[in-house]
Amino acid sequence: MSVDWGSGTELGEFREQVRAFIAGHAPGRAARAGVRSPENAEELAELRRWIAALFEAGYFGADWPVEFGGEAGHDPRRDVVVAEEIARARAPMHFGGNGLAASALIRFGRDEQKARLLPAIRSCDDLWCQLFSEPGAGSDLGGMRTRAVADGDGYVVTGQKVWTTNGHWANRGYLLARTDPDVPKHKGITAFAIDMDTPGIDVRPLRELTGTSDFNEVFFDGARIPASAVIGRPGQGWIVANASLAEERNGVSAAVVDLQLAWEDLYALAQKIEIDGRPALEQADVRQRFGALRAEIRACALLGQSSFARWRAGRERVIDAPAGKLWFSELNLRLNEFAVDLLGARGILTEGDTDAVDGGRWQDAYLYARAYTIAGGSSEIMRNLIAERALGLPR
Amino acid sequence: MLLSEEQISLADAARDWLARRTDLAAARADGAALAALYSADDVRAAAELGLTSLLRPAEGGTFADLAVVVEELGRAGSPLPLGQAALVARLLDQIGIGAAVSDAVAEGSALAVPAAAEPDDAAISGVPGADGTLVLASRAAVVVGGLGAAWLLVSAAIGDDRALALVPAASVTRTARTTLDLSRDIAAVDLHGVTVPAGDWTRVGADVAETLDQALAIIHTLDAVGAAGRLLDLTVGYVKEREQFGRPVGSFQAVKHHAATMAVDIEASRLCGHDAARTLDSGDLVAAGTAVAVAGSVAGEGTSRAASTALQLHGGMGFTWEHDLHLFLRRIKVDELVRGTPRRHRERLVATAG
Repeated sequence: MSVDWGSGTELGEFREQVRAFIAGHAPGRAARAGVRSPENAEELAELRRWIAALFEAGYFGADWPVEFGGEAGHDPRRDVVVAEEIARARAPMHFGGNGLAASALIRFGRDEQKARLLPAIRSCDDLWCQLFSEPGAGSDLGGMRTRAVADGDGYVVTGQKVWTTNGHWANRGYLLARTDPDVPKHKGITAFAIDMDTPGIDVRPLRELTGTSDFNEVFFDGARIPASAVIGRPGQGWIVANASLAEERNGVSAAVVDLQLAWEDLYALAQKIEIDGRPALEQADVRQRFGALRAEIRACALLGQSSFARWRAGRERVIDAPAGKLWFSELNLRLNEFAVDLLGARGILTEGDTDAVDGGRWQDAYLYARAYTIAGGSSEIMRNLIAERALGLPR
Repeated sequence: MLLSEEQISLADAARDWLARRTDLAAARADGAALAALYSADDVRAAAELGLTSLLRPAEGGTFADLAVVVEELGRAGSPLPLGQAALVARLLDQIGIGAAVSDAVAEGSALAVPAAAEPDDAAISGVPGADGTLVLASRAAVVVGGLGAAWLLVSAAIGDDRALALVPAASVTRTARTTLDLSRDIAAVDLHGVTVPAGDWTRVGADVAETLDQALAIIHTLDAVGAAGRLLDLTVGYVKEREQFGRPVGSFQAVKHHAATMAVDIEASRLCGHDAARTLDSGDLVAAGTAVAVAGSVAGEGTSRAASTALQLHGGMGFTWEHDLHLFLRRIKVDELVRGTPRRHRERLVATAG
């Protein structure tokens, strides 16, 4: 089918190159929604090869400093095109927390750290996990309690982290821990680049509502890390973390492609599913939902494009990123709820049942959709941010 | 896709001017003669600012520029149908009739607005008569600006063909409609038996008729976006000032979340509206049709929802006749339902897929 999703970043010739590259190198299509951990060592190895090939070809890491393999005069629109095309191929885009760690190291790392750690991110020899959230510090990240106590020429870390994607595979960790309990909560936090095989670190997989294990709990019990692990300066961790999170600019454009593909697949499905002996797509209420969702997906694309254009023009506003995050995550949830509802009684069948529609894809996406409305700043946090910082409502 | 420096200046100029010229008290006056919502002097002054001529081919203006102006008209709650007038001036220049009327609109000595059937209704029909005349039938049920306008540009169907006909407003029966909207004049126009002389009408391609329909839809979308933006400002101002339980109500998270949702709905609506205008400028009417439907769906619902939330957050104050809030809420609902309902836009988005 062909749906006109409206214009966006063109760069036609570059896009063709990227498409051809993906066709030749990408691993098989992902079975599940969202950012998930490899399920076995073979999947991990395949993912490692794929992401390393993207770096090797210059499609990833082109915005890095030239001495670490970046491209002089890099056009950031190319990153958008790469992200969109990977999403269109339903290929994986992330190798753990490597992108996040790289942006923190590039902006705040010492020369020695960059020289030691960045090449292994390019080659995918290292896999990073992000150690930010805690059982008592989710949306209120500033309330984290994991301590890193200065001791001799290093720190001793004690506490617990949670929602650590790929923690069970990672050999490196991007850790936030409290180094100074005596200052206001955002000021006493320090960022670290740690080895996950450090004695005193225990990683335990968590099983999520989807039934799969993508996250972990990570326990620190007197784990000793060197002072050289600090990223930036002690006490600067909040700034380091926020800057690296803000670097994730291409997320919305890739997410929009995911939504477009899901809409098209669901539309095709609605031509086949029957309600009272007629294709579901002939029902007026079903048509209305499809029409509204198509429009909302286009609005999501425009929010992402406008935010990107504002960033490039130096006209970024507080509302831009949270508006895009809210719009995408809530739309994604609505779309997948609609999908499960549309299937009627067959909507109850999940992966493993022989009659499950599309192998249970829609049920997995419906359950996983909650990750987006909660992770990376919940919808409530986004609305507070817009109200307080964009609209100026009192705290 | 960002507004240019020129467009930002245009918006600022229009906003300042409209803030000085717009008297919302007139809209609230009982039994106000609707034509009294604005004066001939207002029209002349708008023309001097270039607002009625900005779409003329010679001026080089674009629908994207018009979008900026129309958003300000909505924000002000202005009664002036300047977007409609600018559209008529462009179409007259394009199809080669009514040169004097186009000039008059551009100079501000008269207003002209389109008269077209609502998309859910049958088209206004025309039959070619003797001596190259066109005889019109049926009635235009909703003509925004129809009472104050001196000329009507009627969009008619001659069988499967399309035509545009320029009709002096004084020669037809116009009835003021009583509508939700108190801030604009809306008329029904009876066109039965109206004979348009040769030279005042012409057959046009489907592309011209489609451009007119799409441009009118965009005008109402952006009018609603501007009005909703005004409501957001009013609401944010109010909840910062209004205290209950010893603190500003805007410090309550329930209120914050509503205000944030309004802001996001309005931003998405604005982006879709401007995208539709830019796509119409590209001349690709198929893509523009989609973009107009996207805007109609997202903004139709989004701006009305924002207006509803604005009323809720104003509490009892927003329920009073004296407060401006209801004027914008009413106007936004009218913008949502004329020139294509969200239902219609959504059906189009499904029918054109696949």
